[in-house]
Amino acid sequence: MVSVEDLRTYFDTPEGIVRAVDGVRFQVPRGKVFGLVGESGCGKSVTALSILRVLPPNARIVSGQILFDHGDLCRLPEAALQRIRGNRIAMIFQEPLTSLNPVFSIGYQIAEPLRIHQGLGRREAVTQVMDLLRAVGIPDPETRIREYPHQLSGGMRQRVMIAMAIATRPALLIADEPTTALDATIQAQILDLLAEIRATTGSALLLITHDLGIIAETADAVAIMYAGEIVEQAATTTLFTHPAHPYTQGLLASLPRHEGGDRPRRLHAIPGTVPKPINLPEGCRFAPRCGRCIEACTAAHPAVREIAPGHLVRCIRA
Amino acid sequence: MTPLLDVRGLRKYFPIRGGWLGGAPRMVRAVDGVSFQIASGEVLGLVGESGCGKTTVGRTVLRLLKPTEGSIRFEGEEIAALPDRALRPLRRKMQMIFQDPYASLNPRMRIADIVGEPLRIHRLAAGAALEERVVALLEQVGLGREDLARYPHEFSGGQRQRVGIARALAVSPALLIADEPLSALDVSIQAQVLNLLQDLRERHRLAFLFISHDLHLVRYFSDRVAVMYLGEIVEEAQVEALFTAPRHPYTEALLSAVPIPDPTRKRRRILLPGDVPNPADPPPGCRFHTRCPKAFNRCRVEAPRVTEPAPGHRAACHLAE
Ligand SMILES: Nc1ncnc2c1ncn2[C@@H]1O[C@H](COP(=O)(O)OP(=O)(O)OP(=O)(O)O)[C@@H](O)[C@H]1O
Ligand SMILES: Nc1ncnc2c1ncn2[C@@H]1O[C@H](COP(=O)(O)OP(=O)(O)O)[C@@H](O)[C@H]1O
Ligand code: SF4
Ligand code: SF4
Ligand SMILES: [Mg+2]
Ligand SMILES: [Mg+2]
Repeated sequence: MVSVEDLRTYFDTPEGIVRAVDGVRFQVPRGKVFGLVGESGCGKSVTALSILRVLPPNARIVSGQILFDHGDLCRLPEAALQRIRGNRIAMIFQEPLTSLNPVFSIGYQIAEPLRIHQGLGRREAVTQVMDLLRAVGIPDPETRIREYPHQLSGGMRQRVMIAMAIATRPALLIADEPTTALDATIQAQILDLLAEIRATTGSALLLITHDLGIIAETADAVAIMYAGEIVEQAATTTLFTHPAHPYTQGLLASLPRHEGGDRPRRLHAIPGTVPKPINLPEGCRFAPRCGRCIEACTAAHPAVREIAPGHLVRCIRA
Repeated sequence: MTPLLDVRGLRKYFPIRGGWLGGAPRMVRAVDGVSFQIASGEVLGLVGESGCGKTTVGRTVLRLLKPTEGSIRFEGEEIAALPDRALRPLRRKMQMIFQDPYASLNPRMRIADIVGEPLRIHRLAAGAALEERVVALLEQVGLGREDLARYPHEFSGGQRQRVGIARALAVSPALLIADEPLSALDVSIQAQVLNLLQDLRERHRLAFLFISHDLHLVRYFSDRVAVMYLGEIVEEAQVEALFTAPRHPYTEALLSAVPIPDPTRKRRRILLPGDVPNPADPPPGCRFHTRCPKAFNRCRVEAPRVTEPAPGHRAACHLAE
């Protein structure tokens, strides 16, 4: 459905070049949920923004292909891309308040993509907006349609964002931390809604999160990012039951677990911190924190290997 | 035995602007009749959704806010009504760790001064002794002498949180109020800081009010847990009892909503309808009845009493009676 090949997106900053996304490659098949996980700053959002080419001015896509609908989004002219954005591909952001326009009513904002991309008239658009609001579980849509973003709670705003995103029945939905700003019970509502939408529309979902629990419960396949690279990628169950990269293993081991009732006195902790994006280590980027590091790890940058069908790992010792 | 902290019937109301149509000013009932105890060396986890009053409980107990009503006894002494100037000795014994390690440290101060400041304020050390004490504190949290002259921006989020912890420990408190101390940190760093808190707790017999919305962390770190909803504690129990046999429908739903990082375990989520009501205008009867899957007629008119369905396990629900 969408296929990202060797994507590199760099930022020019006064301190130097930030290699935010550095050779990322993955596919999101139709009707599937692909999870992208990693710690803050590892390049998840820049990957998403690159797909839609809505990057800040100091960013540039240095190399790569993003294949979608028989074309390469990296090379499409801006006008053609505009017909795809918010139509064939839609995005849901973490903070709906900053991405909804405060001066337009909810109804107007949801109707806009329908009027632009599908040429619906006012009447038809209103009817569809009502249906959409009902579909995302907003009670009393007749009233809500006239309200403004600040009048809604965080969970409602996220629903409105989702209603906007699915209005044109996009083939690909990108959700960047869609529930991070929400409470647990509201998060559960939204995740449920996303699953339902995918089941009914068959769209693909690229789900970006730092929460391994959300991935375990919703993603079909998952990629773990570290310092601009994907270090491991597999079907979700494989990744959780047979993690092969020391970073993935460390992440999973650092989660508090409660099976059996006994709690270990200490959690496993990955020592050190994520490297600064300006000064990435030459060899394996995880080497300074890796308990299994040997000389060969720092001598050359490890390539991705397929250790089992569909299970990709960027580690020479996996 | 007197508990270290004994809070009874605590209320904190905030006036909100816009006495609508010139009516009486309205009140946000941020904390509305909360009671709990913390024994010396014990960790009480406080959980609940955004806006339910957790931070307000913490700040009122510390007397950074003046309670509207209720009693707060610390080591047996009533502190709810103490005037500000009488609070200084208390501030030595209760310290706070904040959520945001970026915002809670003064960016223009060196680490030596940030950690040393409480020692100076309470006249606990000066000169060379002060520096030695600061170094010892930094070492306890995994930092060191080489960090004395550095500024907060030179540290990562996890390191800044360590600086905040060292500062809180400077005056040897008996109780730490930790308000979301890990939520600004990445997973791999959370484990580092949680291990540190665990060590400190054992070494100094520190008691904690551990405020967090991350139920996995709360379950790992707490001895007992209290669940808040709209300004009230709806359930309180020993940690394993609360997580394995919750008695309040809200706790049940909250626990079921937390994603588990194990794709081989599929559970049924209890989906709550709607949003948390506005604490300025809580529903009548049981405050949870607008979202409760088990609500019945009585819930809409009569607020449930707190009952003790099992020893040490309290719940405020008509069904738990
Ligand atoms: N200074 C204030 N003035 C008016 N209302 C306030 C004030 N401080 C808090 N509130 C309100 O009191 C209620 C409880 O707030 P509090 O900060 O204690 O929530 P919390 O449980 O800590 O939430 P979170 O999980 O988002 O940190 C909220 O409705 C909040 O808007
Ligand atoms: N506008 C920008 N200018 C310079 N660097 C940026 C900019 N936006 C993001 N970055 C850097 O790119 C990297 C990846 O960022 P991002 O994709 O936002 O991370 P996350 O995985 O948390 O979503 C980080 O090192 C970040 O500091
Ligand atoms: S390549 Fe070496 S340093 Fe990198 S993750 Fe594998 S073992 Fe660790
Ligand atoms: S008292 Fe009624 S509404 Fe409240 S939690 Fe119990 S069953 Fe639900
Ligand atoms: Mg991001
Ligand atoms: Mg708070």
